[in-house]
Amino acid sequence: MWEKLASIDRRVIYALMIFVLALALLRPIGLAIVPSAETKKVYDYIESLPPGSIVYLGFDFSAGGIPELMPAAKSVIRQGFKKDLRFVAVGMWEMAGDMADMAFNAVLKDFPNKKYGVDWVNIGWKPGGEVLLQKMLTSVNEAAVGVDFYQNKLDDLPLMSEFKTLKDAKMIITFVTGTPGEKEYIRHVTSPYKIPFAISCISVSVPEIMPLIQSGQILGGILGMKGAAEYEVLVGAPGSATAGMDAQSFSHALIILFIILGNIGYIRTRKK
Amino acid sequence: MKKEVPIVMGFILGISIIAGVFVTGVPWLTTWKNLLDEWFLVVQAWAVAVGVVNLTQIHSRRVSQKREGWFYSVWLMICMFGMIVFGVFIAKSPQNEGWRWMYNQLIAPMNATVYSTLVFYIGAAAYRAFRVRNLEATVLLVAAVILMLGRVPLGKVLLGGTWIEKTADWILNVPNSAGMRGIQLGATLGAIATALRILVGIERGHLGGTGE
Amino acid sequence: MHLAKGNVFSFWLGVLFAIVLFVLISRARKGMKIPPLYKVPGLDALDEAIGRCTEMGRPVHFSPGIGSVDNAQTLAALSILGYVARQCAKYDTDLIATNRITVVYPIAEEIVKQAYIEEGKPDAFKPENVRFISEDQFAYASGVTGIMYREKPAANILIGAFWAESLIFAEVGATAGAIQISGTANTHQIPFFVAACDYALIGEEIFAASAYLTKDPVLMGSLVAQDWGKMLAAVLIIIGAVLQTFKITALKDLMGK
Repeated sequence: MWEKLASIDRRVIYALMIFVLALALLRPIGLAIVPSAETKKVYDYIESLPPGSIVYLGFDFSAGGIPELMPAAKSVIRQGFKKDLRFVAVGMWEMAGDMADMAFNAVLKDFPNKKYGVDWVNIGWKPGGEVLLQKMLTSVNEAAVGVDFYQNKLDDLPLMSEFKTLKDAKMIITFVTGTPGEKEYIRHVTSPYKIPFAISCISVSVPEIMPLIQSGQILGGILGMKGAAEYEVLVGAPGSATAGMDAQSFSHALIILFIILGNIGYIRTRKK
Repeated sequence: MKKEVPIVMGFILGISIIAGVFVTGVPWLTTWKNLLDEWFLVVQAWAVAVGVVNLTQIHSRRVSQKREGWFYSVWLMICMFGMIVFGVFIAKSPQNEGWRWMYNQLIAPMNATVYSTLVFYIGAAAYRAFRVRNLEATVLLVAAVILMLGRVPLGKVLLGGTWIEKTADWILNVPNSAGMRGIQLGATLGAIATALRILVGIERGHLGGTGE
Repeated sequence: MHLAKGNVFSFWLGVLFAIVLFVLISRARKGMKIPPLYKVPGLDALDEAIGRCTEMGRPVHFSPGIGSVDNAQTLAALSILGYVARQCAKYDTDLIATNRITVVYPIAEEIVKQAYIEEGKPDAFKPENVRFISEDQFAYASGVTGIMYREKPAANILIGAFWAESLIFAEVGATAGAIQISGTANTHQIPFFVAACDYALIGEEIFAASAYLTKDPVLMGSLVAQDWGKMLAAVLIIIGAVLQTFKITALKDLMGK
């Protein structure tokens, strides 16, 4: 029996995991979410920006990042539109344009007066990664080859007349799952030009991001689904991240249960 | 000559890129670096063709030899060439409705699905790895459990108060950050040293053979 | 002409590091005594893993990560691929090298081919075993998963720049019963490799691999330079922490220039 506990078939773990996740998503119990200091720093900084400020949003993720990053993106856009901030969305990842499109369209339903080209622009993915950032420091228009995600000419969009280079951004926020990501911004843009920089990242990246927040290279972070849920609470619009926190809670509990069982089995068999 | 030419080219182009990043106010250098950046993009884009050739060779061989699962190879080639033909000759633009449908309704969900399988792998890996084998493994186990409980609302509900959250934050901010910095520092120096060795041709492993 | 804003300190630090590196390399060439390297079990285990494959008649799987050639980790991984390929050629063991980046794929193919030629077995080289899978990260992960299940390699060597696919590879490798040697400098993926693999190279160890495996004194000399660099960083950290405690920002300002 103890041997069995020490070597539970991984398929049992998989099956129970999907059961727990599905149950928590279908029947959430609404555990209380309290915003952390890192999340509040991002929220407070955006609150402190004067109306009309242009915020650069880096959609540096693909479909896999949607559950953790999309709720954060929607909440940031919602907060910004409430404060009459304007957004320029660009991305170093191929799905950037689609991701930005998805985030803005979800929020625009509640802000029918916001106009494309005036209050927000979705430039979308442009190739080059790190090189793209360097090029945008001298000319966004050139770096983007003159067109946005919807094939509009950037010269025809009024907002772009005030956003000639990345240095025109009052703040940069990147939603990021990997590389290229935050380090490229820090290296080429935010540290040399002292542009306030915040991040929304997936949970796996949190340990790597913490030293950058401590050093001040990143002013604050919406860290993982937990951070996204906290941001939804701060903005006052609970969404998929808030619902997802129950699922995350119970999946963690299940993993801990298996770790305990495995160790009981291990200790008993070792004694034998 | 087979190795000397790439080394000399690598040195000249590598130094150009480094100079282009660090030095400003030299117009010809900026132009040269921009040109090199563009070449890199073009080479990267065209290299996809090499990949297509390799995939076609491997899978057509599997089909012709009727190896086990050969019909999956047929399906792969149908999907690959179907997407190429549709993209180049029919859609012609990434904004084409059909193309966007294929991307958003097929590729994106498949992408997200494979990514989401990680949750199962994390569960199974944690179960196998976190055992009280020795002192270090026990420290790893305890830290993992504190973080798992401290980073979700359930931790507070189960254990009461904010101590679990505060302990998790402390682990993340102090020992974790210290370790991460140390590893990153060593890795960065290692990367710079590797780059310099390659630049001057001391390390040639990536060129194939022993490099002698 | 001037140095780019924000890069002045890092430029001069880089120049200093390069000078130290080349001085130590030239001294190593002249026979400078190199301190012994500490044992890296992951690199020592490469031969054991290949030997296991030979005994079992099963292939070795090697992935150089998903970074491109502009990532130093990929270049370090390709050096290790050369060593693995030579050992595989020596012991007549099949080597399956999978690639995600199309620019890396022909380089990997050339390295493996060259290794077989150097071992005097050009006919044993199987071009179909160096495979491009897909440029898409998770399509590549799926492809490797399929190979692990179908072709059941007895050794799974994952060294290079890895992101979210790292745990997928490592867990699938464990399921397939392969001995697993991994290594990455991507700090967020190291815990996964440590938890799921038999051996894990941590951070800079992957960059030391070519020196460790070849025992070339010139390459070893550059490792000494890396240690000097680390000592300089430690000194700067201590001075910075003391100055910052007394709210003196001189060093911080200098580094930001």
